[in-house]
Amino acid sequence: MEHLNFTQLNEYLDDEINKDKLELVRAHLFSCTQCQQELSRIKDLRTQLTKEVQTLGGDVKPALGWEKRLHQRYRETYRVKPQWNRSWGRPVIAALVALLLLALYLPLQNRVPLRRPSGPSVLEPIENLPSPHKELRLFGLDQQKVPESLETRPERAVVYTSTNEDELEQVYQELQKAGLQPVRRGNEILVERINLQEAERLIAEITKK
Amino acid sequence: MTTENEQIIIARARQGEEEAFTLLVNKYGPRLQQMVLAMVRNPYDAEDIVQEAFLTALQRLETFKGDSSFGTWLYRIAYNRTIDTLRRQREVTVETVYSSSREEPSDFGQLDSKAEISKALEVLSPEQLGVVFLRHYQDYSLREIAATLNVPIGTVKSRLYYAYSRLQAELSKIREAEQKWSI
Repeated sequence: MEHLNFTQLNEYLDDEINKDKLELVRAHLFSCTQCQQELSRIKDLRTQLTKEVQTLGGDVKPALGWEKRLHQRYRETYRVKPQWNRSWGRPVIAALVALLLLALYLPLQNRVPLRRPSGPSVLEPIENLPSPHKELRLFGLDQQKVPESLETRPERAVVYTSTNEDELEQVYQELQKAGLQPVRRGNEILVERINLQEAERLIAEITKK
Repeated sequence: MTTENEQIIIARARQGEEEAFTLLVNKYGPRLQQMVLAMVRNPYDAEDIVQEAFLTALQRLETFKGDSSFGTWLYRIAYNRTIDTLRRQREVTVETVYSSSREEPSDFGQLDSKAEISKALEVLSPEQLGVVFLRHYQDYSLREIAATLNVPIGTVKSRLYYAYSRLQAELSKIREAEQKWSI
């Protein structure tokens, strides 16, 4: 067999020799020093290439921020959906919709009269009055607990509230008879500068009647 | 990232989901960037090539009818862009792209192994250089190179073996010169 040429030797290293020729090639390589040496040189070259080519780019650094600019180009090319529209986008949208509905609902709530509790009393302060007055609201009779701070300075009180016009009118007249100056405001009756205990007593009397 | 998962990720990236694009960049970007950089030796050229490769690979995915992975397609585009850039670089200057990294002989006129290879690679054509890098940098098999370049395996062998032959001759010359210098 003639000497193996450069391509054949490379094909041998790459396992690209046809099976039917492989044994012949091996046999030749076994016996031919010249082809062995040439094969060894090619192997060395390949080993050196694999080793050195890996490090060739090492002394040149990539441009700083190349990934950032790549993403920027991507965003320009594709109209990238905002990040929030993906993993946590839906909960955020749901929350925004809920807030929007709440914002629409609250003004409506302010326009209609608040539902007053019926039955046993609730005494609650109105904290955000523009006037310096404190205001007490007695929505009934049996005050279970009156905050101390309100007891000390009850300068103004809503003494009665009801949705029943007849009832309101009756209470109003009773208060007048008691020498007070009640004021009607919607379905409330207000008495200014009334002592809390006095208000409670009056209402108790009126209710008994 | 399995092939199936990758297809989903690619589809999402094409719909403008940047998270999916990030996954692709994380998987292929750094290695591709390094290989291109090692070939063109210019960070800005390398960046342009990598950008073009990623965006073109996504945009023209329909034209890629191979059974191979997205990586193959990506590397094919990057390879072609790199070859174009190398040709342009060589037109601009007689000095080849490796000149800047050429190391001066040491005190005894000896180049180290890296410098020898770097100098020898100058004699290769861009196409030969590309094949050498795919084989020895990317550790692709001959078939993987053929798939990447979309050429018959015979063409790959021809380019690669011819490159070896030229490199071997060039290294011999370099070593002879070094020997003369050291005498």
